[in-house]
Amino acid sequence: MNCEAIKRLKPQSVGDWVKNNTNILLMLLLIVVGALTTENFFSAGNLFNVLRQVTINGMLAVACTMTLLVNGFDLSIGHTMALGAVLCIGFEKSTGSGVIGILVALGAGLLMGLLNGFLMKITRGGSGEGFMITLATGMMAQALAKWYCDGSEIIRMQIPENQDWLRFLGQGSALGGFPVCAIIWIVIMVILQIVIKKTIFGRQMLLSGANKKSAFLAGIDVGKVKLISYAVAGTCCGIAAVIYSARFNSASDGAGVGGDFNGAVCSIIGGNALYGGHGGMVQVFIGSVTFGLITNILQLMGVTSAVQYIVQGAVLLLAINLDRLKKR
Amino acid sequence: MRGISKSFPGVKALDNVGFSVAEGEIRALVGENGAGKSTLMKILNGNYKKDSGEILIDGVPVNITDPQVAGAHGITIIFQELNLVDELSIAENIFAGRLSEKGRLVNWKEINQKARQLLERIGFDADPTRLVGSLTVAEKQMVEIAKALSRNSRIILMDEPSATLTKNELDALFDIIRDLKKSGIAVIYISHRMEEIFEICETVTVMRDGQIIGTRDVASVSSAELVEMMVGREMSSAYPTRNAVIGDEVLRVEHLCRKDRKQDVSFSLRSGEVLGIAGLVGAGRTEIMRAVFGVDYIKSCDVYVRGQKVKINNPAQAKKHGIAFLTEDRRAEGLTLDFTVKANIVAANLPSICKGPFTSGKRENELADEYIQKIRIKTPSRSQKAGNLSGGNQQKVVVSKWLNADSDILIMDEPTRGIDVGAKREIYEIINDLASQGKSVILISSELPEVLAMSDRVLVVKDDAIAAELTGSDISAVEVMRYAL
Amino acid sequence: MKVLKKAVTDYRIPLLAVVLFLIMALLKSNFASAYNVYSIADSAAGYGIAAIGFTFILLVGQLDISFGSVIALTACVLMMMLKAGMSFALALAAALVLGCVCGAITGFFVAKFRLSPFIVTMTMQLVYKGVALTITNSTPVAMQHPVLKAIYNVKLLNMIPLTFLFFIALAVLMEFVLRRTQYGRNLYLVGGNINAADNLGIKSGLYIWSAYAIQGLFAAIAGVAMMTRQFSASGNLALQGPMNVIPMVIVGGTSMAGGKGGVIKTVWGVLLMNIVFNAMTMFSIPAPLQPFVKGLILLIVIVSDKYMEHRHEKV
Repeated sequence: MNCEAIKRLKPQSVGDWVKNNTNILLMLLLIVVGALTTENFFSAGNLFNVLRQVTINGMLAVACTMTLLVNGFDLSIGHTMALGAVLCIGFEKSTGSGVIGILVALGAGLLMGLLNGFLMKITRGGSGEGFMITLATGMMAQALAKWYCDGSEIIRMQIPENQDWLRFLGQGSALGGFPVCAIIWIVIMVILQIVIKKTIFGRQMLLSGANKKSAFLAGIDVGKVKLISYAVAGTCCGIAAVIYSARFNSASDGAGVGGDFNGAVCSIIGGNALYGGHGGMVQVFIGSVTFGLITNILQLMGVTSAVQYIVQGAVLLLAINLDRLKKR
Repeated sequence: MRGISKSFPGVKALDNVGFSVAEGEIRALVGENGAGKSTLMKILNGNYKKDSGEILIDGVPVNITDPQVAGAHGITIIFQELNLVDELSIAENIFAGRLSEKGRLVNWKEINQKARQLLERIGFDADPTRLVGSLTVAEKQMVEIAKALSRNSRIILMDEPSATLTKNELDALFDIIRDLKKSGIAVIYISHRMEEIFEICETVTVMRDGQIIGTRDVASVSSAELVEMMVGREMSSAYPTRNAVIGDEVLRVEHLCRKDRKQDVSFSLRSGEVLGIAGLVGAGRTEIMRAVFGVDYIKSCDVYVRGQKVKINNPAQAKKHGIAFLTEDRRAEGLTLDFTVKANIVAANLPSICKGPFTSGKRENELADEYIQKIRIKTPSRSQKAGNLSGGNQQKVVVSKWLNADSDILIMDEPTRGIDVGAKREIYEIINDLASQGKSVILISSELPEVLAMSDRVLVVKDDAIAAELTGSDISAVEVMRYAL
Repeated sequence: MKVLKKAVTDYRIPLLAVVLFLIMALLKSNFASAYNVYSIADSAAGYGIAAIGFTFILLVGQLDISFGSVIALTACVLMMMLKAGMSFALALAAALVLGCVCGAITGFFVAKFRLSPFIVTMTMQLVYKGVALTITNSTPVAMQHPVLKAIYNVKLLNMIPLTFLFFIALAVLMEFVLRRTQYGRNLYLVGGNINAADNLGIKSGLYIWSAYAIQGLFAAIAGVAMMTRQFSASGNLALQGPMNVIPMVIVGGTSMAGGKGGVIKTVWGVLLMNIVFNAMTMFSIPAPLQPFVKGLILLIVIVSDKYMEHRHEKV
């Protein structure tokens, strides 16, 4: 007989199933509440509306998730988006071309992501370092955005609607009413999910996030994996920036405040783990929809945005508490 | 201690154990990994709660609920991982948590003075205001002993104290232990090292599988008898034999110079060979192999694989040349505990599960099943989390991982540590199997019998250098110890 | 020679602060003027007080980015009570207690449930801000209260504001607590080696919790200090709090790893950073870029700190 603990695989009880799938249950619950409180909840128009509203936070959640999976964290996603948005609008104005605006926004996001990833690599960082580093880079991004737009809102120029396809990206519909921005979001999630679950790189990401020492010893270039993950996250912020500019036709340096929180909430209440190595885009979708519905319901109830913060905060705390219980 | 029993989920760690020590006695506590020594001592120190039984001090039953209570009763344990804070001074570490009476201010002058007295008592000449971070490991241990003395300990438990000490430091430690005995303090010395036990201890208690096998006087028992009590059977039959067919050189390391070390290490390895690496813990064996595998930053190193000079700056490059490294700490570094068995098995060779540009779950399953069967990994399913397997099976998963990576030079660091006897045998058979296939194994082990029985050739490492190379009939405990100490 | 080298290394931050000040004074004629010194001391006081609290958090090996919102919330409560006609003493007491409570709540989540301090404090930052915005209806609460004005008007030697003296006095007091009380020393233990602390029977959770409560208290005090200048509080007060305070404490010499540092070190870090900030304005770095420079300083401090810590590891 040996003194090592040998755990047996217990059959999953109902309680276990509930614990493991609270994210889906919560989403379904909110859909029910939504259906009860809103007329025509299940109408195409309403569903499309929900998706449209959820997209920007959803993209931020995608970015957040890419960093969470490699056991990192990104507090700069909101401000990166703000920077991208003001640059997008500004460059469209100065060059007259929406395409240039889009490219600049994506470029800004990519650069931020590369910067963060590079810093994470040289500090051999985990989520602690990620937090502090991206706190700093985020503030730098916000400062740059403020400087660029002189601290006030920057507004898009007027373009005739049939030529304004930036606007189309943000506010348009396709395939019978489906919002284009949501299509973009979903397509990106599908692509990234495939990468995470079905490619070597994805597997390397998960291994690096779960146990970087073990991954390194198995021959994985953990630093490079983190760099690329952060770069992708940054680019997603750039995409969020484009959608933001397209939807609101204006942006300022404050556009990203709370973005990091929103992205993290959506990702975590959807079921992604804080500690890396587990999760994916399905969780992002569930979490974003859930978060969107919560916000929606709160707004319908007439709750002020300040109180909404409190509720959202409570939800996140609950979610990470559950997350921690699941792990231990 | 009487009738002590303790169970953890799935395992009975201690079964009706009785253990007693007298004033001023120096008692050794020996047993294989998992025998229960640590558990017993942690119960005595209040880190664990016993399920049943009682503890008596001076014949009076006491209830020890936490380390502070144990300390109040005069029990102190010095763990292997020292409980010191580097950023604080020696004096502060000695009196940590007890710097002043409740509600009063800390009087540093007094604290430093008391510390100085304690240090003098154990012959450690150091300024009590020095930061602990600037001390060597041996010196830190002295601080721990001073700490124990400051608590008026009557029983001091030392858990593998000699693991990282040089011979001189060990002698100094022994002198201190003899002094402690003179003050009537009992010392319980947990160790694997027979030589030390015979040098310093008066009596020895052997544990096996959560039970006390017996207590003997050191003077009237032999090392072989002790080992037999620990293992429960005669030693020689524990190791499978093989006919070694040794071929050409597959690996040559020359002029390995680590940072901060002046030693220059060179050695070679042939196909079909099992090269044992012996030496005391802390001699630098693991560090040498980590350097070869590209895990740590080093000054310089020339590596030749099958005669060709190669560059190994990281594990990925080492892997490419067919080298594998199974680390000491299989749980933290060898496996990703949260992931499934199958995920772990394919982790070092992800292209092996690819069909086209994408990974294939089916291929992963096939590979996993192949190794589960070939290496006889006991697991309810291939999707079981690796962390749930027993130590022996976890090690088998690590072995599978590297076999899947087509490694033919496998460096194994303490592969059988913490594994039960049956699984150990299986690991030995795997090693022999690999060797007979023409692969090569570098076996680092602190279990001398293991190294002696399994190796075709033995390198003895001492103080970060290769002190000797033993072959054939030279491979014996005496010879190894001659160079290792 | 060796003694000199050691002295320079040990006291490099105070030396740097003094040297920088002298260089600036030489470069710009009015840098050392009474007005400018006052300016530096004035800005140092507010966030400096918060930095004292933050030092405690880092010492026990934790983090907190919610204190900015606590400053905002307590300041709002203070101003609202003053505006409603309550006595200064009462309003002050309320603000301080509230700060303590906020810190305790945050600390509760971190210490009791062992949740990651990053996420928890990031969340509480928004929650406390939300509360502040709610109770003030998202409008700033302004009042030229006589007591606040009186504090504002005290200028020692025409150069040192009263708040700065409070800052120094509090710093000295807290340093004393850290060095001469069992509580203070145990904080270092918990931050330096939490396993050792647990093995000694020290209730680490309580110490961590108390550090957050102290941080909350000092955030409240900082809020009051800010009110003696701004006379107006809103939910968006001290948004830049973490960005200002974190470099001050880390540069001062208190490590993010825990168990190392102290309040006097923080004081020097505060002075150094404020000299730097002041110099930035003096040299006409455009206002929006100043946060960029601050962020950059924070980034350099953190990256270099972490890089030095981990550079011997490959991963």
